[in-house]
Amino acid sequence: MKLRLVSPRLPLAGVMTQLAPRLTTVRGAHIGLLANSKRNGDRLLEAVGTRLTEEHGAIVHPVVTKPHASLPVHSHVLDTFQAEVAVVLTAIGD
Amino acid sequence: MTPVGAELTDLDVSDVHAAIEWCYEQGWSDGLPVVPPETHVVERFAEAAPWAPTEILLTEPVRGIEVDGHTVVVNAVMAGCRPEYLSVIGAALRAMSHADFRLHIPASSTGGAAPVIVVNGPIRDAIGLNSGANLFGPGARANATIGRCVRLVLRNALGAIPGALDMATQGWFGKYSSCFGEREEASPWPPLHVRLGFAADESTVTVLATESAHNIHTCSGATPDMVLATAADVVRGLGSHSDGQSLVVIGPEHAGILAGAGINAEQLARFLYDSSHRTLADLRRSGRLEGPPQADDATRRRPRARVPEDFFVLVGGGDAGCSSAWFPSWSRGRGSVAITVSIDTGAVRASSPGPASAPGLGAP
Repeated sequence: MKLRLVSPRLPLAGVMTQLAPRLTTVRGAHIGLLANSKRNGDRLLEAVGTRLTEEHGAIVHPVVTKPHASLPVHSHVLDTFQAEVAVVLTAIGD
Repeated sequence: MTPVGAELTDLDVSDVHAAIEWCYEQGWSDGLPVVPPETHVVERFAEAAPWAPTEILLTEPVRGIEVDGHTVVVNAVMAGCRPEYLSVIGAALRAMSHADFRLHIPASSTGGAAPVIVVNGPIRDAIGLNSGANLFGPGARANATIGRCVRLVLRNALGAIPGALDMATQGWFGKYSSCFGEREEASPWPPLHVRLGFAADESTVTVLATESAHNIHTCSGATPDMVLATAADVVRGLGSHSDGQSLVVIGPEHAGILAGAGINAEQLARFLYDSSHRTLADLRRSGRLEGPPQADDATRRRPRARVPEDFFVLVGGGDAGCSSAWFPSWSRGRGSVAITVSIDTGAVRASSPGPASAPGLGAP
């Protein structure tokens, strides 16, 4: 028997799936830190940021914390990241 | 007509079973067999749908995803729905698109929430939705497939794949399907949607992301005090304590006992709110509250809600038996709140005093 089936998925064009270009080194790179406001995430980011600075020569920016874990990042924060950093790290530690 | 751009696959298979297996191989299933979404069936559903194929029914802003009517129809076919269920599905998806529902979070959180769908009004009878015996269990096609369709949309259109986007530590069986009606005819109180401001003859869908139900069970000639004491003990449990909302589905027998003592739904919600308070010492001891101990921790208390109306009281279940159920919001804070949508008018009510967590409580 012949059947013609319809996909239940969205066309890929409707989904943001494209990855940003990868860095080849973090030395000298500007790194953003984004905490989602869950407990201990900021501490984890601080620790990673310190190591990136001291051991790998990265330029690490201060942690930015979302007001609530369930909320998207404010657009002005994204704009700042886009203008100032090459990579953003995020973490949860609860 | 199947929309231009829809992804089609021509299969030459020996039987329907082979087509079902092929759907499994594509990752389209929730683990149960799906109805292969054959073009002619999809087109028949699309003609009956109360929306255009290009109409956006579900919006998830965090990842910028919009789900159109065509995609919902395909998933409804796969879930085993009948076309007359589509209006309920559409209302549920619109409710979940509300900003205060914050769909991305319950779809992805380790907390493992399911969107629990409560239906009120005449459409329950029109589509055969069960609100009586075994209303949370199997047996009614509308209950089983409406909730399943919503879950398939989350899986296939939003990508809520377990272990990928859906990071639930355990999840619960309601993530297969969670849809039931309020048994308004057996309730001594005005139904939920009327108390939320909708007309009695209006059909509505209320969606809340919850964890699994907690049993409120008391028998042996239960008195009003026994029912209240049991319910109070359940809603103050530390394992689910937060300032979120919850559904309280009172069995008809319990509802009759309470109403016989002159207790109405609002009074019951107030009682549960008052009873749900725990000391800050308890909350800190269990890790529900952050920060170092304070001198007054043993005397300061917090409820499992923000306001009494956060307990959404409704009636459901069979005539016999002494069970009620409490569905607490999965979130530790106020990450997602209940949204009600009128199937008839599209009117929306967000039952939301606000999304922010109480100070010191974890989020979401």
